[in-house]
Amino acid sequence: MAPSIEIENLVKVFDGRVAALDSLSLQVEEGEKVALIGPSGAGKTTLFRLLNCILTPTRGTLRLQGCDVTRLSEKSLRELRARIGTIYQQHNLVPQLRVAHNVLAGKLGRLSTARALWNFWDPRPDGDVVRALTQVGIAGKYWERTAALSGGQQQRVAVARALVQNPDILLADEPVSSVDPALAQEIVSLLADLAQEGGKTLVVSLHSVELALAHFPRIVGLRGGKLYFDLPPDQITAELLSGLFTRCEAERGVPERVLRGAVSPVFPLDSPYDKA
Amino acid sequence: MAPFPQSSPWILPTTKPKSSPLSFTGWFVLVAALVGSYHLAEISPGKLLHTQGGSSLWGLLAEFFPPDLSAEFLLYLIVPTVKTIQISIMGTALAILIGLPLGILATSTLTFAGILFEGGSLSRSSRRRLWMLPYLLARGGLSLLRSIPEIVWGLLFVRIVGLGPFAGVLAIGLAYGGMLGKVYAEILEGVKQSPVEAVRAVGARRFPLVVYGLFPQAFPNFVAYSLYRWECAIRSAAILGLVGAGGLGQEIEVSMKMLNYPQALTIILVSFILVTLVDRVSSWIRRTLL
Repeated sequence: MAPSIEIENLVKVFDGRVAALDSLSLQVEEGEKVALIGPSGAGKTTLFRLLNCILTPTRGTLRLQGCDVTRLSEKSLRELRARIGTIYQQHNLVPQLRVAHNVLAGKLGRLSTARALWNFWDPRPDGDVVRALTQVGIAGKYWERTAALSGGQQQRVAVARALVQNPDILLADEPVSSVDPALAQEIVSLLADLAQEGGKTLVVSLHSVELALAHFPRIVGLRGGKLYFDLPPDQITAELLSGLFTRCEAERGVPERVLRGAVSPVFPLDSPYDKA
Repeated sequence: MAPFPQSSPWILPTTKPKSSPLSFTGWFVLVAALVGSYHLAEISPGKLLHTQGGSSLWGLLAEFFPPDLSAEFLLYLIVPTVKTIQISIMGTALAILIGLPLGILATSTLTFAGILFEGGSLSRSSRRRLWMLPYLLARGGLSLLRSIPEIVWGLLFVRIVGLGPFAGVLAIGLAYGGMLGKVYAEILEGVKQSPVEAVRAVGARRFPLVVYGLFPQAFPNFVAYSLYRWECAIRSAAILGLVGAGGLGQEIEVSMKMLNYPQALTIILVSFILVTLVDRVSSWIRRTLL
């Protein structure tokens, strides 16, 4: 059985300049649960967008369930995407649509065009949908307009969309950063339980290190687009964490262009502030 | 000693950045254009108030009053009024029919650029470039359609299909189709891409992806702008009457030619009421629908 996720020397460069991922290697077996932690700008979101086949790697290999994503036809790529579910930090729901449509969108990978359009016209819930909505606790909101829901409720809708999709690999990019701590705990447990029951591979990036250490048997630290550590939670030390999160120049708001020397700093170094 | 390390040049600015010399040039060109145009357009306000020869402003205005409000004439106006409304509705419908497909083709994020075209094999980029052709054709077509004013389209179609409302419908349909298509494309390019990316990531086929992720975001703006164009179409329909496309405009032209100014004033009042009503109706639709 091929591993769920195989990454070898993966590089992703945006606009030919900024390397978001810098020769990253990582392997995740089927059914494994991995938490991804690291400072903002570490490349977590880019990694997720590569893992759900939205972006193409610049260099290196990315194999999902044994398939090299750069060699797939448009059709096989679409079928692969249907087996990978993603939950996003900003929910990424269509706010103008009802909850019904947003949840049913999770099924689009498995439906014919005609069936998909029929569902759009007549978005009645089926068994999967009812189960998913009940699991996340918003069954009563099915017919409401998504924009009218609170941030926490929208995040539940996003989780329900992923549940309805029923993917083999579930990715969650900061799924709980916009909800209160109690709900965060609840959603992370829900995702972990679901992965456990269905034997799904789960990769979750989390701001909260405590949540990561409490729920995941494997913690991957990412920093500057590189692997910083890959350890079980009991081997994560305070030094490792402070090393992971210590801010470096690039994260303090200095534009990439200035760092690379492409443009000079706008303000002279001998500014009045220096003489104070 | 500097409190900041040399490698940290990010210091707050203390002076407002100087405005660019371009803005002075801009002002100069603007003033020059205004002064120059004033002379070249032969503007002389005195002519409006002159008393010798022709009719003066006040004299002409006086001839318009009182408007002809006889029941007979008002009843007669019902048919041209309804005709004007019909021209505007059919013209806008035709414009949407032309504008929507061309607008979709003219949307770069739907034809060759952006998140829908990321991912997968790198070798597909050449095929992507092929899609630039319909995109450029659609852009060009839309520019052509809207660069010709509806009154010119009207003159053209009166020659082809003869006098009457159909020429007006075609004129509005083509000119407004060009405007709608361009704005539709801009609306489609402006929608939030992250929900579209999410729908793509579940493996949606191309058409359902557009229906679930893209159109619902664009729809409110589509409706709002199409309704606004309908309001404009009512005014256009009235003007197109002047070139023989029927409706209220034609009645104004007839009244003016027969020097029956009170009737012309009545028709102007009717169009004013019509435009106000359409304005109300469209804002009501916007409120209830969006």
